[in-house]
Amino acid sequence: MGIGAASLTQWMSGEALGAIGGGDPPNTGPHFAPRARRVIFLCMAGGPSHLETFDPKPKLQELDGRPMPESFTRGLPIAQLQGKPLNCLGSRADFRRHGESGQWISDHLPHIASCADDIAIINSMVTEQINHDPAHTFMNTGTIVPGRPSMGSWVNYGLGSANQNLPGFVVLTSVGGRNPQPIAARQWSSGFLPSRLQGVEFQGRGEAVHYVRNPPGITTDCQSHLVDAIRDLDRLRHEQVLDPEIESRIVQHELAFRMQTSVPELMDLSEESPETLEMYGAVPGDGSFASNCLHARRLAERGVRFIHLYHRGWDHHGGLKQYMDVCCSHCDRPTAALIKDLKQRGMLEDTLVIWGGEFGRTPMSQGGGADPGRDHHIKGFSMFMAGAGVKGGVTHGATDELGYHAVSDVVHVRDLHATMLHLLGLDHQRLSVRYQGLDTRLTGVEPARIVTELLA
Amino acid sequence: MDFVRDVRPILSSKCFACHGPDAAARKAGLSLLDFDAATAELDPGIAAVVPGNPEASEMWRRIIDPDDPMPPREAHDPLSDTEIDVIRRWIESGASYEPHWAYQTPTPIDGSTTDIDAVDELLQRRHAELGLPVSDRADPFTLYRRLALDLTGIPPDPHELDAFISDPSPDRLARAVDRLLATPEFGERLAVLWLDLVRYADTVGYHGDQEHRVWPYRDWVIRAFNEGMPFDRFTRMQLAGDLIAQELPSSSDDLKQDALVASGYNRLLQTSHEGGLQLAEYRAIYMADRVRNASEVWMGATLGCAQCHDHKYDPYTHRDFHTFGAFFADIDDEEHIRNPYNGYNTTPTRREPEMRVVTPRFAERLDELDRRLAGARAELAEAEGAITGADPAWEADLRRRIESGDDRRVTWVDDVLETGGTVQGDWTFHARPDLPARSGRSYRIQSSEGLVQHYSVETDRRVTVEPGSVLEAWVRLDPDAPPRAVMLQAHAAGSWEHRAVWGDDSISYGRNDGDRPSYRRRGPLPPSGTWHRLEIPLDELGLSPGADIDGIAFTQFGGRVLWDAATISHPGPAPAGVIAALGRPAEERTDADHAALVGHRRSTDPRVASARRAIEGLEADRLAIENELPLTLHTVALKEPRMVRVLPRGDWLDQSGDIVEPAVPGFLGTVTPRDSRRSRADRLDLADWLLAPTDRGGVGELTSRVFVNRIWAMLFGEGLCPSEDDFGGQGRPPTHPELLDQLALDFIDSGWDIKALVRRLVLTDSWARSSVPAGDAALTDPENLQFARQSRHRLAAEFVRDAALHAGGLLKLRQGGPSVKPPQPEGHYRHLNFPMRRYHPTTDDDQWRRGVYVHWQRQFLHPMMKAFDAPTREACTATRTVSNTPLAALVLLNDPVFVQAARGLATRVLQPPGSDRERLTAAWRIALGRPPSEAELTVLESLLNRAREDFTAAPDRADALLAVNTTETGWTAPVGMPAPEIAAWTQAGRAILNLHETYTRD
Repeated sequence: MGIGAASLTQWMSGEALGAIGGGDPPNTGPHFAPRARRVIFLCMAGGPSHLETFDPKPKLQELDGRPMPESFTRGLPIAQLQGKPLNCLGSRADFRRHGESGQWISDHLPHIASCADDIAIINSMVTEQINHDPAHTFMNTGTIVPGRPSMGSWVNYGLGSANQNLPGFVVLTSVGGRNPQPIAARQWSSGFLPSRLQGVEFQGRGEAVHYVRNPPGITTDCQSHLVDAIRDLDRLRHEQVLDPEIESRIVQHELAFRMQTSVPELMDLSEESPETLEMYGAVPGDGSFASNCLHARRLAERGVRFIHLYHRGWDHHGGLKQYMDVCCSHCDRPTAALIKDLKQRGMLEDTLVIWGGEFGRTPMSQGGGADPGRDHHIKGFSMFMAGAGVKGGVTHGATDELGYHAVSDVVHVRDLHATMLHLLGLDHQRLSVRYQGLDTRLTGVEPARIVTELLA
Repeated sequence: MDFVRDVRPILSSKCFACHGPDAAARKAGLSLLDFDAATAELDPGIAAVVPGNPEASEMWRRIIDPDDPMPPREAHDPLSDTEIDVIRRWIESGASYEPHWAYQTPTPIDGSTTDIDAVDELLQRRHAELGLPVSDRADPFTLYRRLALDLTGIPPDPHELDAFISDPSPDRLARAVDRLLATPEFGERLAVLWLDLVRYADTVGYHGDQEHRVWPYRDWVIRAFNEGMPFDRFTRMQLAGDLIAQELPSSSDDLKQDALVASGYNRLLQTSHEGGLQLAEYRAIYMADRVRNASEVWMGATLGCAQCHDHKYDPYTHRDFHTFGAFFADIDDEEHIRNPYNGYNTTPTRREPEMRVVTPRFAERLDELDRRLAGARAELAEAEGAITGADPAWEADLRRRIESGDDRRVTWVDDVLETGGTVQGDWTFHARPDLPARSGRSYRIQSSEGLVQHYSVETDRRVTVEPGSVLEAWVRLDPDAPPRAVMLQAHAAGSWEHRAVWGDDSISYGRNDGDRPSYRRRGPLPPSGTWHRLEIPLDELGLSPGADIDGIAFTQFGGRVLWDAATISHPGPAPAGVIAALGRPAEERTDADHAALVGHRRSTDPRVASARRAIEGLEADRLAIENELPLTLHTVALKEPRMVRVLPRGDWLDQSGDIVEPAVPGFLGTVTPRDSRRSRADRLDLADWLLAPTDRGGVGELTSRVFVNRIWAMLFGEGLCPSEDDFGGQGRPPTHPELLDQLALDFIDSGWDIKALVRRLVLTDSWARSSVPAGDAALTDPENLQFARQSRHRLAAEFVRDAALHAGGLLKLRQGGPSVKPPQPEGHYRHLNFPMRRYHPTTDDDQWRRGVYVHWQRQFLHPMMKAFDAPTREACTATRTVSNTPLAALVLLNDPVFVQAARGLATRVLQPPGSDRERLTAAWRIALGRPPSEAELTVLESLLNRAREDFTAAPDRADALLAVNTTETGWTAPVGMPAPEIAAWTQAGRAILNLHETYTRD
């Protein structure tokens, strides 16, 4: 039988052999019973304002246009507002209570608001990096030292792959909003972990994976004959030299050939119902965040461990109102649709959804004119989590009265990592790999706390 | 029982976190670092280690304590039974400590009794002791292919291989080694190893990942290896080429240039050109990067781990990290952080300081121009000298032309900025064939996200405003990226308050509500996509006749604008002074009148004008060539090095730490400035210290061990010290320390001769062994730590590419030059911004150059290179991982470059006449060297025949396959061969170029 004949059923259930990380046994965990089997991380790249989304501040409104009290800002790092006057900017959004839990959510996010009772909002996030590139690196790897694995690689390292035919860590990106900040492939690098654990970027339009299409003039049959011949020749060599790497190469070539059919199938949204497409607001092939959210659900169904979506457009130094409208129109409905879709399919129980940027934005305004913006801010911002073992309808932590410093129940990026790993059944202290003589962890060497208040 | 090999690694990994070098983290006051500390009395009658008596040792009692064992349970890293046993036996045998192996001075082996190389002797002695079966010598096909791949990274051609095999002389291998070491491909092969270490790349790495210009450094590395530059000089040049250049005599321009190019090493780190960076933060990041890299590259040390606290496992202190960093505190590399909005978000970006490099090709052209310039200047002097006194005919002619009223236009800038004065911004001039200049031959490209301004001011050139003078400049707005506004601005009498703006009010300079000379709104932007001349009468800018313009600024907000000639045009054919003089009868004229007339006559004389034009043309040519000269990053030492403070916990906001001066890690000695008048040691002193042997106060033996080990790993698959990146306590001790020591000593004795080292190692019996394990060696030594066989490994990404291109007859062996951009999938750079990126693949046959010349985009490495584990070069890479993924298989199967290589391979074997079997054998041997077996031929034949049927039935598909093309020149089909036949052979070629063996060095 030609290897092209592995059936779709086999493929969907992951019974066929080998994968990028596929067929990978867990390296360390789980250390205890997991609540989450997988993570969908919705990264709002650029840094959405907490003050226009989840963190209303009446006092800031009162001080709108007046100087920011210096006691808040003295001696602290500032990005583009270095050496500029620092004036308060009251929220440009109206807030309302939503759901039975009565969570405060701004009018920018009506769809997410309709999931208020399913999500746990954290209003006391802090990070350590104030510029985009290092802040993403910090969020993804827990450090800015180059060459460290990102969280998707760590999770796959710990838990192994649940699908034999797809990478365990998939990345999808979209744009819209203000001038998109660059995002580096480093953000899904496996660092010093084996490269099969790296995130593989699937493109929402065009060729989903590099070189997944046959060369022109080559039919599937043709390619199948070729791959069979390569296998036969590699086997003959293997008989001579007994090199286990050859066996592995044979498996990988066969898998590559299967991916040539299965990846396009995965990315083909035509089998989704019009209602589903409508719920997400997805137009097949448009490469939008909406389509990517739908892809995320399909990847989750196939057991991909870590699905990382980036939407690049949240860097609102100016035109805050205008670009919040754009970004939210791109991201609000699909995010809510993803949570609801997972819920109606019974998958929200074991899928952890995390929403947020690499940092937040200053309570101070940036730029003049009718529609000013906000600068980067790391001392307090908002994220939310939903699904798998996370309490719905709670708001955790708070910033001070002007939304500058996280002051109660502060959640550091490390704590977020520890909590995420805990939900996945991984002890962040034991998920470690020796690198250059050090036991290296996603959560690093500083203490990290599992945010137990968020656990159901 | 060997402390270094057996005991120290256990103490290091399981105990030192709390009982090691980091005094701050020490628990119970116990250090296990050395004998005295471990055996000291902690409490009366209690010592951690009582030599010879485990039961009396508190350490042992705690290790075996069932209730509360050491290491503590919460560390989740218990001792294994074997490790516990080692500790017990170590204490029993007297708990001897020896210093860590890497920091001990090696001693030569005494009494080498045989004439075989010490390598073979020492390895074989161990094999005999262990009773390890040793593999035979590899067959000549394997041996020669191995040699070619190890020394050049390119598999041999079958005729080369056959010549080797048929050579009956006993020294055929030695002669082949000499021949291959002399090829330029040797330097390219070794460069791949070195460029990984020093993290060489073509882009800045952080944020916008813009291109920076440093490829001359890469070429210098290749040349250094090829010319046999000794490793000590190679080291000094990189760490301190700028300091070496200062000490060179002024006549040695070439040597100076080489030294400066080499000093580019200090600039290879990742930099960020993101707006809103904190200077102090990035100063700390850059310093840490340099410390990490230099200590890893030369010392195999993880000194970078002491950034926030004392090293947990090695004797490096937190202070050592900072004193080591202070060596690099004089490197000028901060301009892009100080002025982040000054046009750094362009690609290629600038990273001042940069230098122009005169390559030999350019040097010839420049010399020729200088000869011609000297001639033209002599002609000008002569022509001007010929004009004296009055010339009535000329005066009459000028009178006529005054009446007819022609314009006069004075050039401020065109093709070159020669105004003198203070210059701001990038004054590089460009010309693209598809976008010719409006005036002269080139223009400037100004692009930015926000405000960007370029100017020169307080210039040597002065232009006096006359009635009706107009300031003008040619612009072409990019239709895909139009600016929000553009502005012309003049400087006179110390004031810049003379501005004219086209477009909106985005430009904030001088912006006000009124309509004033300091901010004149001139209406909408000119149309984009075409050249347009901006014009503003100078009186509208408040500049009256007689004002001297000594500065002009070109400003825009956002977008991309081509700026061409800026001129000031005066009405009328002559300056007022000349007209006045002309109006006076000759006898009434003053000396000033005569001077004005002669001056004007000279300036308008055809011969003078022609000489001037010639000079201008030659100068423009010269400048054009100078502008074409490649730029490269180099090191400029600041007169005042930056102050370096110890940053507590690595926190750059904490300025409470001590100020430190350059020093080497304390436990390794001290460094003294070579010039006793200086108190501060510099980078050249550091390099000298790295290279000086112990008895002269340095760590030369350590440096030598680290490098020798890398070359060993390149040739044997694994280092004698298997942790190539860590010679410290957490690394793996060498399997054959005495051999590593001997090689290190010999390397120093040889004058750090790299080629001699390579030659020596590949001429050993050990290197020539088969990679197939003998007897039960695969079981008894699975990791091949005893080197009783050769290793087998997949080629590095660059050589995977080279091998495929070589087989396809496509590989272009040319040395040096800008990086090449092979085709890559659409949209691979779509996540890059500042600016948005479009990949412009190389379309001529430069795209077939070796992998070492492929453009290295740190954030988005070429997918083929990435799939075969080329590192991003964000940090030092001592050992590449070798993965085996479907992404790599997809490259081999479907990347159009590999399809073209397969088609090329088919073409190569189809040209000469032959049977299918002869041709298949030929193709096989081109890629693999050895002839195919009968079984292998059968598989290929069957694939070929199937493909023949297939393509014959669908010739259009054959055409489609053969049409795959990424070069301008395309491909020429073998004469008289039908497309389905070539396509079928291409399929056979694809099979061969997908085999594991094709990319394996055996």
